[in-house]
Amino acid sequence: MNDDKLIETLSTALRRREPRDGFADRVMARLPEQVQVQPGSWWQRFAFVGGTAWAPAMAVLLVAMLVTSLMGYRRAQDHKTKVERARTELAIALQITTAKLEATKLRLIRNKGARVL
Amino acid sequence: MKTALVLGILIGVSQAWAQKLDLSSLDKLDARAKDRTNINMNGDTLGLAGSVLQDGKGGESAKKLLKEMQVMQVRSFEFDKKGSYDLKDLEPIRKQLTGNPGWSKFLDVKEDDETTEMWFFRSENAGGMVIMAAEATELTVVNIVGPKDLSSLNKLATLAGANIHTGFPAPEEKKKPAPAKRDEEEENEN
Repeated sequence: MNDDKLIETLSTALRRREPRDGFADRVMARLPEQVQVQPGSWWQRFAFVGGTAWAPAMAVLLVAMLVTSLMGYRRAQDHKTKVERARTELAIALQITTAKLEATKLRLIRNKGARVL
Repeated sequence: MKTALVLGILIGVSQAWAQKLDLSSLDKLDARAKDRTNINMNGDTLGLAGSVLQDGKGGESAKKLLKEMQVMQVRSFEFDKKGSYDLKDLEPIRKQLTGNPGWSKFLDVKEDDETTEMWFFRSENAGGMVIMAAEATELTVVNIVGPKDLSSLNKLATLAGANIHTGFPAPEEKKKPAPAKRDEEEENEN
């Protein structure tokens, strides 16, 4: 007897009921808005072409190019410094040589006892 | 042919090296000098100096001259007072010159307490010059090695802003004496 009553109670509780009008609309309205994916910037589209991330490789390439350029610039500056220094040293050496030769000439003219071998 | 060329280059280089003097005996004067100049240029640095010369206006001949130059050494000291150095300090340099048969003393001038010596080196392939000028408070040693014709240094010095006019004839090229004027006078009288 009790079993029958239990079954009847469960049947009543689990019986299918039609939802009230507008139920589906109310549920959909509460769902969060689907996030729209904006198209990325040009470099993002390029870096992720075909689903592969090219950005790290590009970054490495750019850094390598920058380092190479800096080294070339440094080398050129060093060469320029060496050339300027060589020119200055040569000019000083020639000036000193000139001065000594001129002084020797004058000394020769003054000194009758000079030995010219 | 190739062997002769290589041999010629080796001989030239070894001769140039033999003409370069060791001036390290003068290093001890650095501490005593009030002012000092130490220039030691070899073929590479001389070539660098010539690389900026422009063609034209003597630049080409100067470039050629600088290519032939092997060594340019200048040691110059200026002292505060007399007696800061001794003429014996030049003995190690003189020994190198007298010990090398290629060098010959061209000039030896002494005036009061100032002395100047000039030495020349001449060979088929190269030439060299040494000037040692000792004054009361100044000592200068110059060693140039390279072109066979050292008078071409004048062109280079002009470009560098200095004008070398040695006026000294090379030992093998002494000028012939001018003809006597008496012959001309006798002809006019006749």
